[in-house]
Amino acid sequence: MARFIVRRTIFLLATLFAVSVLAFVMPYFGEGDPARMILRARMGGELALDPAVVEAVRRQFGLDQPIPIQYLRWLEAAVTGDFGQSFTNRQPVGGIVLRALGVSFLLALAALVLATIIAVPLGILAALRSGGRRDSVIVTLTQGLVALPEYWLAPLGMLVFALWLGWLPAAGWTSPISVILPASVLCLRPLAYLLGVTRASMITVLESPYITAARSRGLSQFLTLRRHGLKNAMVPVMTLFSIWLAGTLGGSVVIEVIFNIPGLGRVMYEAVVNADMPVVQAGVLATVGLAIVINTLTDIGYAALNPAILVGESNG
Amino acid sequence: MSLSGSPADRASVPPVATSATSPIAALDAAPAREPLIEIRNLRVQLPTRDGLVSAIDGIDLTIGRGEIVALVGESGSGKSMTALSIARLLPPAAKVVSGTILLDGVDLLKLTDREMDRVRGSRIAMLFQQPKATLDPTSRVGEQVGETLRFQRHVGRRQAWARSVELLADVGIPEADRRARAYAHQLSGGMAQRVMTAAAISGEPELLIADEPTTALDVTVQAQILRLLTTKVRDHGLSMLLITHDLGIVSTIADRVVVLYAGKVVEDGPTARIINEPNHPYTEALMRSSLLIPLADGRLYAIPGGTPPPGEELVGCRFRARCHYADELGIADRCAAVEPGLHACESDAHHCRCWAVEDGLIQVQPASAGSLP
Ligand SMILES: Nc1ncnc2c1ncn2[C@@H]1O[C@H](COP(=O)(O)OP(=O)(O)OP(=O)(O)O)[C@@H](O)[C@H]1O
Ligand code: SF4
Ligand SMILES: [Mg+2]
Repeated sequence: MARFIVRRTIFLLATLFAVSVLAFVMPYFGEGDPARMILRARMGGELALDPAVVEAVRRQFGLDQPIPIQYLRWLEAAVTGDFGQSFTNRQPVGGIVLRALGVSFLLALAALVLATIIAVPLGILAALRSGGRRDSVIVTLTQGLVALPEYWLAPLGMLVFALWLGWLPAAGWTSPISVILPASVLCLRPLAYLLGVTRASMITVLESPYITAARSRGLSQFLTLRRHGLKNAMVPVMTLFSIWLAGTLGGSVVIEVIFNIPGLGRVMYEAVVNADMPVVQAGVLATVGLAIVINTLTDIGYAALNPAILVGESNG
Repeated sequence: MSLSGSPADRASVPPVATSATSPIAALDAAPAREPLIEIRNLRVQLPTRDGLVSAIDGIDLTIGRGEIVALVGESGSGKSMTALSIARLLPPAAKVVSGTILLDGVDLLKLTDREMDRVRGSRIAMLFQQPKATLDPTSRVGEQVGETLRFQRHVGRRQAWARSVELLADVGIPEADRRARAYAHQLSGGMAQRVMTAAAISGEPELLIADEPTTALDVTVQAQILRLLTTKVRDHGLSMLLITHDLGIVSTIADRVVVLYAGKVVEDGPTARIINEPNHPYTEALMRSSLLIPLADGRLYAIPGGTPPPGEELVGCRFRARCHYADELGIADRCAAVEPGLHACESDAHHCRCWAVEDGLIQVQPASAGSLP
């Protein structure tokens, strides 16, 4: 197990390095001259730029150096947490991205935990009598949830719970209860998928020979489920959870914009619109990097759940 | 030959109407063992695309105390379904539509789920074909072996673990205390089947149902596991229902053999009789196909044709399409029209479901006698 973790960590670091290169280089593939982009971002307009000013900016930001040198400088600073300044408001990018990431992470986690708490028991209930009426009601309802778009549900939620009932704040990110409404909207789609995966995985597990064997040893259906069903059925559920978490981190743009939440989705959206390169670079690195970290932790989690996964590793 | 009387009636009327116990058990001339399991007219249906299909179509089967009964028949004949019916572990889609399964006179099919939970493990235990797949990959094998004790006998976790280690040592697992901590993937198939055996006998059951317990194992390991099973069964005075395709195994350890064909019992009787003097044309073909003695042209004998496809409307004898006797004896019309009943053969402990045998048209030659192990 220790060896497994070490190997995964080395692989993680290598991947992070590759991602940092991509994150750095990516904005250069976009339109044109970074120096002009900086000036445009600062002035917020399409002015006719004085070539002398452009040249000055180029030197000031080290943009006259070859890209590999620029990358190394950026990386050197980045490992100390310094991602430069935002082109638009001159604040340290590290702080901007970290704050935004924290907000998005919290929102995503809240939504996913909520989704899981609801989806797993329902999925199990559906699986226990698959094909029955209870199953079809649960499945139909959740399929309906997937069909509802967030940009439609979010305003509806605001209307009902904030404006009519007055139970929850309509928008903003000020108190802990601010998270409830956006998380509820954000949780519906993962809920539907998590339920589907729980149900499918539990149906497969329940048909496994080890379940019949456990019953043949005299375990009740409940005990069999608790001792042998859950752990085995949860592996794909864990995968989906982490994929979804990784995927939602950088990006609940719709929700963050509608609910006016200062998360990474909104920050990245604005950075791209304003061509604020350092923010885009740091944002991409943070989003993708965190996704990879989550994936690695998931892999290690699997190995802890199901030791058979380590088999291929032990002789390598 | 006599074609008088209604054969269908004869099939359903018990041959000895006065018997208090089952008609078949009453016929046993051998010192009748006290029956542990008595299955009567069991019928199990499964939904398929073509509607409901009878996987088991009215089976009668008795297992005496301390008796080893082998259940044989081609793939799909309903052997596993019979085994799972007894333990009431049929897949949810399968429905028992009629019949009784008496354990010591109590109908298992009438027990509540909770009562049935207490029968499994403590009175009826099972072994399966894929020993590694029958162990939960995420749980230590010692935990699984101790489950019957913990959850039926309410033994504490520590004690159950200690007892698991003893049981594992008892089924011939070296370094049992270390092995108890292993997971299924760390065991060979043979070891896994030993583990399953330890778990099966942990609750001191009366009946062990073993559904092809050695089929998936290496030949050398098969013999070891079989020896282990017979030892345990004899030592503990267990009854065993052994499902197997291996007639060598049958002839070595079974007291009686029950032959299934397409969801029905076509012949049952003492092992020596079934193996050496099979009466039913299907049993005879089954014995011949498993002899591995090449025919004149060098090929091995295989029963021509296949079992009737599930869902097909079955009229008359199910073996008719593959039976050469029916044509040779000129009784094909009758075979195709009316299903023969299970009737007693010369020996009272021996039953057969065939018109030709019932009417004495087939001369049973002990031709294959001596050619089997
Ligand atoms: N899960 C299932 N769903 C539908 N039909 C099934 C299922 N399992 C078995 N059957 C059908 O039930 C009948 C009896 O199957 P069973 O498994 O009892 O046969 P078997 O004698 O054990 O065969 P084998 O030697 O291959 O193990 C077969 O016709 C089979 O097609
Ligand atoms: S009843 Fe007829 S078809 Fe069936 S096995 Fe006997 S002889 Fe063959
Ligand atoms: Mg089978």
